[in-house]
Amino acid sequence: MSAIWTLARLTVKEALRRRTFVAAAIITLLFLFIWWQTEHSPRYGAIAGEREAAFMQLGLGMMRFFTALIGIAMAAGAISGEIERGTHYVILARPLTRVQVLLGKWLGILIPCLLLYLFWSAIVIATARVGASGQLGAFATAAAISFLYPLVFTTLTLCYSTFAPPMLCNALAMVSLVIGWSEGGMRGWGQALLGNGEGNHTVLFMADVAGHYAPIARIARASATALGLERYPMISMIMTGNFGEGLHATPWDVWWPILHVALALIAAILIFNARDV
Amino acid sequence: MPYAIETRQLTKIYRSPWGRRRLRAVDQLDLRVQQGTVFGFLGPNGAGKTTTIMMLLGNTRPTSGSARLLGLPNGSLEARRRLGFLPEKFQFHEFLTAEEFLELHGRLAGLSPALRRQRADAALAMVGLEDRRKQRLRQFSKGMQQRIGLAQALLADPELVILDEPTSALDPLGRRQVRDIILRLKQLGRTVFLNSHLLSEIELTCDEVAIINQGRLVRQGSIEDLTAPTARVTVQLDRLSPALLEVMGRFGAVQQRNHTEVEVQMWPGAETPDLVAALYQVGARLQAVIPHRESLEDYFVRVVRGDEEVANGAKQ
Repeated sequence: MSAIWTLARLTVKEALRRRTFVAAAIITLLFLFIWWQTEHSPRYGAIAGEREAAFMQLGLGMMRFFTALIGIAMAAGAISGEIERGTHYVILARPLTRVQVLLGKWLGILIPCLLLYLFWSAIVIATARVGASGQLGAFATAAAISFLYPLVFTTLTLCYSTFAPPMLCNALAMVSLVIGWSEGGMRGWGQALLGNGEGNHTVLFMADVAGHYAPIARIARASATALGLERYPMISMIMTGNFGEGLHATPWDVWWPILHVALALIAAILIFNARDV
Repeated sequence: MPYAIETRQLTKIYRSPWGRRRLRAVDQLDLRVQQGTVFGFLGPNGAGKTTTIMMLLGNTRPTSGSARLLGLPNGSLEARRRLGFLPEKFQFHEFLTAEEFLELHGRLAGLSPALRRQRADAALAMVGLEDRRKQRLRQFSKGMQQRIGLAQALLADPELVILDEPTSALDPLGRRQVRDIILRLKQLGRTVFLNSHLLSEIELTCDEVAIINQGRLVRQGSIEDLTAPTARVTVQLDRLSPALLEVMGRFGAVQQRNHTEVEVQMWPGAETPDLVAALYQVGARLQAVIPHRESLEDYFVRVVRGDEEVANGAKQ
């Protein structure tokens, strides 16, 4: 455990060196801009609390997306990149297992991601007046569920990093994001294709595969359900358009991303253990 | 006592992704390195030296064969606990200071905090970087980086030190320092496995060398044995005559340097004392007979070229 923690701390130091927090500051400004937009948008406000709920939903969406991007950027070079640069040779000559090295990297990437995520959560709580509206518990649950998004993509990218060089790794991570985003479109398209309500089974099957491979929609749905967004027709309509299904999350929408992380981590360990360095 | 390094039929074949092309990087390598010796591992570029080292460390899996370090399976945690390694291609975490870098490696090696401090001080002093301990590695020159790399390799007081080109970036003073460190390690009974292109360094530090070419072991032995006085002798006389040249011609190919000196490349089986006796018998007045020892570099070039000619002949 001590070796894992040592490597995690090293990875955190590396993240600080890469000016992750400059990117974080820019994203924070984006948050404030979106809050200002939502505050003045005529779209919301028909129902009490809708404006705050919309900002919370938008805020959570941004938080999980940008945290995932930062996680991907750090994970992409974590294994293959270090082997290419030659920094891994002296580490791997130490009495450590590759599992320890991988877990150290994983933790070291997730810690700054989590810190950023908490920082942005505080901004959303402050600007959306979450405390005043009595939504703090719901927001905390939704935020915890939303963190599965960066967790899934960081772990998946780290898995890619065990066999692919950094550029390819970044590309694979972006493709995975696109696959995740395409689920809702494919589902809507599949249902509309035949127009008889049963839909096109091939396209729907592809949507299912996309949803399992990159469970973005599941996480968004579970997070929206935790926030109780079904109460707000406008937000509900936007969400349904994006994800092709209603906001009725099931426990599997949370459990599958957790299982996904575990499977990606196991795959990463198996591949890293099997490869030559 | 087990060997410091022992390989049996160690082989590594790299295959292209679709298995159409195969590269035999290391071919049935049998190496035995005695504990407490300084062992030179030589070979031209692409001979398979670094692949062999990577297999010894357990970073690369052999296609077949096995290796043991200090009697332990290579790559095992216990074996790695007892070895230090400086890679040829390295880049350290340059945002760390020298002190932080050694602290990191001390932790990874499982040393206690007190031992980490003590060993880091000793290692920095050994490589002459004690006054640079607070400096970031990114500010280090290539030579200084190589020295701090050597310090991390020695940090855990290993029984076996594997150094892959440890002097490639060093100036003559730095090379001298590394050579002194290696000799000091030998005095302490440590084993040093040294891969270097600088054959003069190898000649000055190693007890034994192995030469590999195209993945195969070509020669292994002590430097004295491998570079034993060769069949080349310089003979200096008062005066040369056709009769003396004819006598010397019976022992080898004669090349006259000037009117008092010749060089005789002895035939196989011909002995220098017999040549001297024969010259006395015909009344030669000898001034000097100088047998020549081949340098390791000459030996290396001869052996590798000879091996390649044999390999090319076999292919044809």
